[in-house]
Amino acid sequence: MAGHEARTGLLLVLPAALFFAVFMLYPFFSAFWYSLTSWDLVSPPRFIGVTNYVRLFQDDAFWNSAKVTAYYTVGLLVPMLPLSLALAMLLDRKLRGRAVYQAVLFAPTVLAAVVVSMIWRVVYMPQGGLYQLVTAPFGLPYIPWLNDRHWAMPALIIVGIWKNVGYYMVIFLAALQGISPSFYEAAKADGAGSWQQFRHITLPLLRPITLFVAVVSMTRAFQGFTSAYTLTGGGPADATKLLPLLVYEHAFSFNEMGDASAIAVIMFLVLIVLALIQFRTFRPEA
Amino acid sequence: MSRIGRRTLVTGAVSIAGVAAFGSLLRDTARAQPKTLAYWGHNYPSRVKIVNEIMIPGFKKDAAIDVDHSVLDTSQLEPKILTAWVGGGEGPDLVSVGDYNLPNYVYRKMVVPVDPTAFGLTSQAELIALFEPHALDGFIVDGKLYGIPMDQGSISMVYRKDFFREAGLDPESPPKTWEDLIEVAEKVTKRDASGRVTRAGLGWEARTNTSHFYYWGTLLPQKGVDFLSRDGKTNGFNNAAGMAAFQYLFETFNTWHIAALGLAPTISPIDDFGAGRVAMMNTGFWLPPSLEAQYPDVSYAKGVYGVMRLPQFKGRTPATRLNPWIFVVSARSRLQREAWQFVAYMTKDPKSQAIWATQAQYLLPFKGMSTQPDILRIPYAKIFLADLAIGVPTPRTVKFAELASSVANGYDRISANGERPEVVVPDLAKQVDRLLAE
Repeated sequence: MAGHEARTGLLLVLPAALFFAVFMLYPFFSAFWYSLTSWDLVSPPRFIGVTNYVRLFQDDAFWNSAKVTAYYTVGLLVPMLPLSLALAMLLDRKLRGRAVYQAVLFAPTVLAAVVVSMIWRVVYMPQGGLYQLVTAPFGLPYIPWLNDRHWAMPALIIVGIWKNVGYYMVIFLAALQGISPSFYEAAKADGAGSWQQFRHITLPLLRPITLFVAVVSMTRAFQGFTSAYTLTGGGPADATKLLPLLVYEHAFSFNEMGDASAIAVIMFLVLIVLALIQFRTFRPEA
Repeated sequence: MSRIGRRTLVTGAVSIAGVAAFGSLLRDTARAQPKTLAYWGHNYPSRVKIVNEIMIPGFKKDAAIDVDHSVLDTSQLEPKILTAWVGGGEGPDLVSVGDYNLPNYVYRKMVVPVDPTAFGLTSQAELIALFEPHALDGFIVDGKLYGIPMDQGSISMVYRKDFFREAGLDPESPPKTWEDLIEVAEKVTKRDASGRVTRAGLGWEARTNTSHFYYWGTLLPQKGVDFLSRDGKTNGFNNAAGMAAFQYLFETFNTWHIAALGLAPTISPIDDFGAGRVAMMNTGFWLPPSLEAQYPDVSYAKGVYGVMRLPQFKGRTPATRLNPWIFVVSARSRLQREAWQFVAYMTKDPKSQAIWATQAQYLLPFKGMSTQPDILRIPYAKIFLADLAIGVPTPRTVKFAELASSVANGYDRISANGERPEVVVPDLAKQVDRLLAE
């Protein structure tokens, strides 16, 4: 009986395991193998050991992209996660027109990334752009959003927040609605204020969801590509050249698949380490 | 184990034979279908119109070969071709691209030499003899000709006469030197109340990494140097002459403020000039037809804009940049001869040459090009032909994409960051030397 159940279980797991092996494990090990080769996609790959990694660690462009990616990830996550939670808490109340607010906030999530970029390009346009039209009458200074090394990254971060905040808000909202009101009623009876309720009930009970949101949003931010590709092309002067853009450039402009794979492997390892740290930080308390 | 009956055996054999016969029939039918060539080119409207409306129908009628023409944005064309050619499939049989790609394509064995028989000739020498002397030199590698020009372009300049008039300048006397251009550009530059440039007197159109070579990149050969040294083994600009060229670029943005970055959501030379966001800019002979198609009010005949020789530095040997676009055929293609036949159809016939010259203003450098009445009837043709004679090719290296990426970064540092050439040029030189050494 136990053997039969085990076989059934294995059979049920098999499709997912096969999918994982073909679409996750195989590409990763392929990328790792190619990262140890010199391969221009035309000639056969030539094994060169860790040369690509050594070259990358000596390459200013790689370190610049690593810093730019860290800036983008932190710059996106730090305001976006509290904002998503705050919006979720607002919409968790009995509010008139709540469904409309939800739909409006969630709408950018369903737009294609390229469409989002086109919308924001119109906002950031130096002549006749929406930002300029709205701010100029108030005497606010002109900001060369996409043409200035200091402003280009904040411009991308704003786009990232606008596109994603609704998605994480919905996740937080679902989690908030799963918290039993009895916890809050008991706390109120004990004289707890709003902040204490948030601090000692909401936050601890949201821990697993916060972990999920933190890991997923970090992974997605780390893989940011479309807005940088379409809005700034990585410029000006590489100020927004995120690591995925560097991978793309090495792979498809320079035909250096070894270098591109090495960057991808490094990104993967960094993400794994960061995810493990998050798992430790946000793990449910015993 | 049950035995297989005679009837089952016969039925099986008949079925197999039937399937084989059907397969063979399908294969023969497929063979009998007209061949279809895959051709990829960029999104220049005049080129697209000529290919779609004249060349493809004509070739189909003549050779019974259809052409599947894919039009790609100029900035996307090269990575997409590379990805298609080095990926698993066959990719396009034929492409038209900037000639600077050729060293890389040949080095990686992605393209094949021109087939002279497709042009109705027996040898490469006969084919070369059809063209102006040295016109094909840049497309020959190790004695083999790999490309046929779609346009033997060179860089001159267009300027808005209406803005000249508005600024009280004589529209018939455009500046002849870069030194004189500064004063003129300052007068036609427009700024808002905060001093921000809203119309650039001079437009450096940094549309793609490679466009730098045709815009501000012309300053280097005009100073007697270039991005690469003569032997192509090191950078050619980390010297006094190169520094002076970069200094001029720097000053257009940071001293005189006659150039500006990103005045529009997308960088398009046609849009920038047609919509009046730039008053003067480098360009090729190809620009006016599409400009006037998109902006009918911006008319050469009505004196809204003019064409001038590319300004030069005082006391220097005149030079400009050549900007040829060429047809090349994939080494993976199974229709190589047919692809060259299509190129021959599009270029060899004087009638075709006249169509390209008059409708797209592409110069096909067949013998006698500069005296062709169809070309000379275009009022500003002689200006472009004069600049063509002093043209310098783009740097030849298999690392052109990497070089262009580094050059674009150097441009950004000077234009957007305002970094001085003394800082940027040595960094750029180091990058270029390293990639050439790899």
